[in-house]
Amino acid sequence: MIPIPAELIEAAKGGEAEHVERLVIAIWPDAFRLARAIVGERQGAEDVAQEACIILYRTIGSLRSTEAFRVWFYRIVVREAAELKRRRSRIEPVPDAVSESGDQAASIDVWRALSGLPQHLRDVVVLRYFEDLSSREIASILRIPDGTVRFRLMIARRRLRPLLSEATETATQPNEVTTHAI
Amino acid sequence: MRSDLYRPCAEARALIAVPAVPIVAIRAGAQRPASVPSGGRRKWLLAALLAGAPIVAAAAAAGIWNAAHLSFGSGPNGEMRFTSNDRLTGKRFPTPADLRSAVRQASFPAALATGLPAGARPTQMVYGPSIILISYRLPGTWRGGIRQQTVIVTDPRSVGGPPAKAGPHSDLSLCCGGMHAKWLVGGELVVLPETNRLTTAELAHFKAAMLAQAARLGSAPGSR
Repeated sequence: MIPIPAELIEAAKGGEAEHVERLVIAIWPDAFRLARAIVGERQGAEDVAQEACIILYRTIGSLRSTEAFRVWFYRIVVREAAELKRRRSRIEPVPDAVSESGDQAASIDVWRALSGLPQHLRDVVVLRYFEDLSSREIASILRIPDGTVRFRLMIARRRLRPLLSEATETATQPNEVTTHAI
Repeated sequence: MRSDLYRPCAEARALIAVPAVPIVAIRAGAQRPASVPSGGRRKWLLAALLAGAPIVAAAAAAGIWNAAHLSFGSGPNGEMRFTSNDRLTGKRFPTPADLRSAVRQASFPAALATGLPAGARPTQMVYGPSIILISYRLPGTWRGGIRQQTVIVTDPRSVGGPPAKAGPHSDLSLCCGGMHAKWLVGGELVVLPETNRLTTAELAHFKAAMLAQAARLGSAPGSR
C-alpha cells in the first residue's frame, strides 16, 4: 500500500485540477490492485479503477476527514466493482492467461483459491490480506458490522487454508503444470 | 493465523502489473456533465432536500420559456410550485467553495443564509441560475434525531406573473407539511419551508440576521 501524504489530500480537497490529478496518480496503483483482486480480471479492473478515479476527481471536495481518505476511496472502488459485476453477471468474464514462472506459482494458487470464494467472502479477504486493513476499516468500507467482517474472515480462512496448503505441497514438486488462468 | 494467508496474498498483490494511469480518460470523464443530474436523480435530490415534504416532480421538454416561476397556494400550508428552464445541479455536503460557486452563478443578487443556529451544517444543495436550495442539519437534536431546515433563496421576479406557457425544463410541486415563511431580503426572496423545524426565537434571529446582512451588502454593491 502506497502511503498518501495528508498534504496532498488536503490540497486536492481544494478542487484544483493539478492537485487532484497528483492524488489520482498517487492512488492509481492501489486502486488498480484492489479492483484487480476483487474483480478477478484485468480489463474489468482497469474499468473499475478508472471509474473510481473519475468519482474521486469529481467528489474529493465532499471528503470531510483527510484521515478517512483511504476508507472513503476504497468504498468507491468496492462499489464500482460490485456494479461492474452486476452488469456483467450474465457474461462470463475472460480470465487473464499468463505464463507462470516459478516465482508466480504461489500467487496463482492464491488467485485460484480466491476465485472459489463467493463475492462477500472474497471482498473481506482482499481487504484484509491484500490491503492489510483492520476489521473495523473493512466494516466501514463494506458498511457491515465489525462482527460480520470477523465472522466472514473466519469462514473464508477455513475455506482457503486447505486449498493453499494443498497448493503449496504441489508447488514444491518439480515439473508441474506451467500455465493457469489468473 | 496471520502468517499463513498474509504472505501469499502480499506476494500475489505485489505481482499484479499495474497499467499506466489513464489520466486523460479520467480527466475527460470527470468533465462529463455529471454534475448536472439526470431528471430522475434531480427529483431524488429535491426529495431528499425537502425531507418529509412529498414532492411531485415532472420534467418536461425544454421550451422557449426561460424565466423561473414560483407560486404559493392559498393559506400558510399551501402548495409551492416552481417551474423553470433552469438546469438544476445537485451537490451533497457542499463545501464553502461550492456555496460560493452557487452564489456566483445565480442570475439575481443572491446571499446565503446567515443567522441559523450555531453549528448548522449544509448537507444538500440544489441550485440553478434562479434558485438555490440548501438543506442544513441543525445542532441540538433531541436524542440524536435529525433536525433539518431547508432554505430557498430565489429571484423575487419569479414570484407572481403568469406561469409557464411552453414546456419548462423543471416543473416541481413542493407540498409542504408544515408552515413556510417567506421574506423579501435585499435582492432575493428567502423561503423557509416547514419552519416548524426552527423555534420561534431561532426563526426571529434568522430573519434579523438575513436583513442585517442584506443592509450590509446593500451598502457595498458587488460584494456578493
